[in-house]
Amino acid sequence: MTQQPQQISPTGESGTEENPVAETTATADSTATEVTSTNTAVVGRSPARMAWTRLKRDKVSMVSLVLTVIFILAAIFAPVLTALGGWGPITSDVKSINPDIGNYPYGHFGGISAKHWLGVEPGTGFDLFARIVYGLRTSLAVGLISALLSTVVGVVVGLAAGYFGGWIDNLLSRIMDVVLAFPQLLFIIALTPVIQNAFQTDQHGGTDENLRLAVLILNISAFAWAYTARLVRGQVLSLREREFVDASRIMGAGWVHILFRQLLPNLWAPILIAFALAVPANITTEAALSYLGVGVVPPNPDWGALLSQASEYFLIDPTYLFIPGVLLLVLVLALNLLGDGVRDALDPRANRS
Amino acid sequence: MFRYVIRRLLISAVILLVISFITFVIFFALPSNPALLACGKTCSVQRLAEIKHSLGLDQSFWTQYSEFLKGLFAGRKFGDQSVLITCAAPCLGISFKTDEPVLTTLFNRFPADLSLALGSAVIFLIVGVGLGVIAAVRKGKLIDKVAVSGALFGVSLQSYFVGLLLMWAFVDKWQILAAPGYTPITQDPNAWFQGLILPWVTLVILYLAMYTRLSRSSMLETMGEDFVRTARAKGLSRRKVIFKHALRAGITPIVTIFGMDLGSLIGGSAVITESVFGINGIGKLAVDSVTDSDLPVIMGTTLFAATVIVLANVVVDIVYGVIDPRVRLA
Amino acid sequence: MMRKTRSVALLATATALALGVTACSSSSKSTGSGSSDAVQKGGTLTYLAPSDFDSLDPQRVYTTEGQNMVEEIVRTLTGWQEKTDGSAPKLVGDLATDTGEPSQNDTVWTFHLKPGVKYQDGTAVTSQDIKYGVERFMSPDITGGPGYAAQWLVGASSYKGPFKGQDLASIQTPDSSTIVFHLNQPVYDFNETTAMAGWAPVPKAHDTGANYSTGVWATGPYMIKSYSKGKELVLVKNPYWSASSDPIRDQNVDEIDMKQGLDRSAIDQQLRADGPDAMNAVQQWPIAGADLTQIANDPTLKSRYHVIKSPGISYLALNVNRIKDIHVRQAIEFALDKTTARGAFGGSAYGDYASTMLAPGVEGHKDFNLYATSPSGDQTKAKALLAQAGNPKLTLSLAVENTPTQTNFADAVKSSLANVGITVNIVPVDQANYFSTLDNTKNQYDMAWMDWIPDWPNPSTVLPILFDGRQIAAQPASNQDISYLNDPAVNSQIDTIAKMTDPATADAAYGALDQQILADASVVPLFYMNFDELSGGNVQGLVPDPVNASLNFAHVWLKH
Repeated sequence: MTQQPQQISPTGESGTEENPVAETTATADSTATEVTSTNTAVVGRSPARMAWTRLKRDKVSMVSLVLTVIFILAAIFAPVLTALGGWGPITSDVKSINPDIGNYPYGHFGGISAKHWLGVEPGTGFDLFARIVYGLRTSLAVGLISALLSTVVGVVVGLAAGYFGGWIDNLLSRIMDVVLAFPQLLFIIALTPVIQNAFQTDQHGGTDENLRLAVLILNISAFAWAYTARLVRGQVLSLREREFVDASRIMGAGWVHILFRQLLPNLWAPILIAFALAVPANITTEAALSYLGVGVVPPNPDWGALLSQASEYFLIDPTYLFIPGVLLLVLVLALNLLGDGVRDALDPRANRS
Repeated sequence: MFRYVIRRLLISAVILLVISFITFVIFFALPSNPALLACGKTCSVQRLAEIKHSLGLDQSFWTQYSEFLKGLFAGRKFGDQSVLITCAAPCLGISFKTDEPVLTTLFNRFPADLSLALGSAVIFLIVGVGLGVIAAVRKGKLIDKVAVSGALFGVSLQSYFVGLLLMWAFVDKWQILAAPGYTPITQDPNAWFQGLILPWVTLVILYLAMYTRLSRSSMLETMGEDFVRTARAKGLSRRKVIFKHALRAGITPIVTIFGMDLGSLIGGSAVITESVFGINGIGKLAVDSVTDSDLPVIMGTTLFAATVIVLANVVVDIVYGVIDPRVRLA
Repeated sequence: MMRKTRSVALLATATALALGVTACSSSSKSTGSGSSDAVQKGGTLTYLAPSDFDSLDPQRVYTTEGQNMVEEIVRTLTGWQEKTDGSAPKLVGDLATDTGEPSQNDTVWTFHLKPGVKYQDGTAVTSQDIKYGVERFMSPDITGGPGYAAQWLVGASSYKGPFKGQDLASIQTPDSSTIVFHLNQPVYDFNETTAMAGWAPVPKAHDTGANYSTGVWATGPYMIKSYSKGKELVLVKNPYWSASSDPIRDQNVDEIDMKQGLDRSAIDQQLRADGPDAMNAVQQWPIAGADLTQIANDPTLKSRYHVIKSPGISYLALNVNRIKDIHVRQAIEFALDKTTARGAFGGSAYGDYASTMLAPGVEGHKDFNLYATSPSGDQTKAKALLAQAGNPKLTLSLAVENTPTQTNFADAVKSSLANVGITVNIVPVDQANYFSTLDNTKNQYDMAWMDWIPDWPNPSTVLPILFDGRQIAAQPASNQDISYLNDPAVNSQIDTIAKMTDPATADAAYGALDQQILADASVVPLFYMNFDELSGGNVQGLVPDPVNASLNFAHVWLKH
């Protein structure tokens, strides 16, 4: 997805209205005073509660929420699940594959059997079910952590740019421009080995698999923060002229107070939405990088890496491609629908779906 | 207007300069040693040093960077000995692997990206906006629901999964289509079209969704605005209101996003589609050059893609100013 | 000294995705040429390739597929005569009248040129042009290529190529049809080196230095008409090539049109379907993994499916500095299950199980097996050997390329060693830098996957390169002895054989040396590598060429 270009309109803000993520502006504004004043003692229904009620009424969102929770639980309890299945993620069932024809699994549908619920990985003879639940851990962890990281950085930069204005805004906005102008995927491909090498303790050519995870998270966040920053900046620009901000300023509040006490609480809705949509986007990026061979390094299992491997075997063993492919689709779709539902719930006016 | 354009172009130039610098820094830090790769198997220490010199890799970072910048404007000459390769301005350097000027390689690859981008963009723009408008007009009806949910479905798909699935079904299983790939249109228009069907479909599936969604919401918004209501109140037909008034206003945000998408597609951002279908575009070139440690090519592809994206940004802003009367460029 | 093998490693990896076949090793020689059709002239041979060559510059090319193509464009001092009848390749004089005259204990080699050999513009080939060509090897602008010239010619190590006017005194041209090479050591198979593409004439007037690959001046049956790197190469008949002086090549087709940058799987499917575009086509790279099972098991494709037995070997190097106990190394030899390991590379189509380092196609190959008779290993024996070693608790590192195939292979090794209680720690190394990383003595692992295809089928391009331990100190950045074997007995035997002048004696001595090295268990030979290719229905006269591990075009013709 692309973002709104910067200097579109004279005020610099009206342009952001087309940004799907920015559509909550109005709600955030209208509920602003409420949120700050009802921080502790809630009388009546808080906006969060109202949003939750609305979300609950949306069937699609609830299904997505349930799916998301199932995925998260499966990731957390991966060891328990594989114990039930009887095969770990890196134990090879040599008897299930045919070494004469390229270690393809015996049997139909990728070797699905009572022993191997989702079949066997061609090439290695690993249990696909175990690979998938452990791979889910990787995908979710990378998606969540990088979304968290990019949101935090984006919010801080966006707040600073929007609130201080002047040269700070100019500088930060130009940095955002540069980041957004980068051909991201191409750049991450080039960047990954560089950063990996800089931090790697084994300088003998091997690739440290856990360091690679950190590098991936870092790289994905390094390009994702600018979207959030631009969004938050736009919101701050419109909020800082509001009466309640003026009021605190007149009452002698410092900028720290205004930024974090007055402005930030009014931004939680767009930030939450940005975060919710960043998670599936980052999972997609991570999977794409792993597909291109610059992502997660074995023995860490990962869905993108699984699909990359499956692409070599899919003409003979399409099951091996379908299962992780469909699961990845379901995961990302559920997260997207959930993010969508959250937005609708927070912004009833938009009434999207 | 003129001053605005000049200013935007200047800013773009600065952004590109910064990007070139950052890219250069990264190459410098790349773990692999291109001289060693070029040297081959039995590489004596002395020959390695000579090759390093021949490739210009023995110079300091700043010398190399300023040589690169100079080459952009004045051209460069390569080769240590009497046989030189001349690389005319704007020189992006010489590929370590093929000894070909990077710009030549980029121009060779560019038609593939252009075909891929334009073909798919035309489809997803027209179909996407069409579906979006229908969905907006029939809000709440079945078609609306299908369009909206289909949209998110498309966004959640992975291009390689779609691509491989399509290949599996159409090429291998049913054998309806020939194996995909890129043939220049000048050489064989029929093969060009046939080879690009699946890549186009893949990109359309991925992008269509977003356009449907955006044009739907944009249409809904404009249809609620005063000027549309006024037009309706004036007694204009519903059809006329939708197509003459609402669509024109509603399409402006789509134009901006379309411009950006087209820019990044042309710049080689469809890396995965290219590698799934074996299309030798700039995206694939970039991925290959990273594996080969072909620094000048990495630099060239990155800069090229960034340039296209930055320029698309400028064009989009200008177009936006032209079609949306509310925006004044200053 | 040979990077060919390693570049071929890329090929091997690519094939690696291969899904093998159960019974394919039989069909190799049943090529279309077997039919009694008379050779027809004319037509355009299409050559489908996923990527460009490393170079077409004779002094720079160092991949099997590149060398295979360059051989159609340039003629070299000697060459391999390959026949369609399936006989082994034979070394003959190509530009030279014979295979050279060694003297002074094989350190001086003299070649006489055949009269009347011409370039594509009709000018005569001189011995000075060959001298100039060989001198180009040493220029730092001419990157890549094999290092034999620089290594063996007297004074070459301090010589930097002919571009600034200097010449190399150890190559003498007493007249324009005689060339003499002075070597700094005896090389009994030097005339096999001179069959490599770089020992070809380059006319100084047409030398464009680093750009020469697009304008190679032809002496062979075909010359470059147009070449757009990474896209298309068109070769047409060289009017000045004379069949009478060329014992190796024919000139049957009118044109060779090579299309580059195609998807590998698309190439396979095109050839399989044998449509109008593919009937006259051959492929540059072996059949891609996913397609191999499909193609190899299809009886209708049998006449167009070629298995090329290369003299290459895929092996596991055991670092003797790190795994010091010979019993442990021998235990690994016995414990390794080569069946699943080969399955990871594609199964039986990838190659036959190996027990020696010299493949059957290499001169001097001696058939022996010191370890497990079953390819799935002998765990009882392995455990017994480990007990002899005192049952140490072992965790060993294993370096492989970071590709799905190789990590699958590593997993197979890990599983089979786990059965005897050895833990394996897999170290994936970036594919493009794999060999340059592993060849650096700074980067040592307990075990490492390796492969090797000799530059010519002589044991001198295998054993001395892979097992002469003195190179570890001498060339720390490009060490080929990944086992780090530095055994004085092996080193001195290498020196002894090098001084031998009778090829047959030398070959036999190498065969014995192979066994001596294997007894030390510093390597686990895995597979003798095969390459599988498909050709279009009209293409005849292809020869599966073990030297270049490709389909040889020398006698190719098109049915029409």
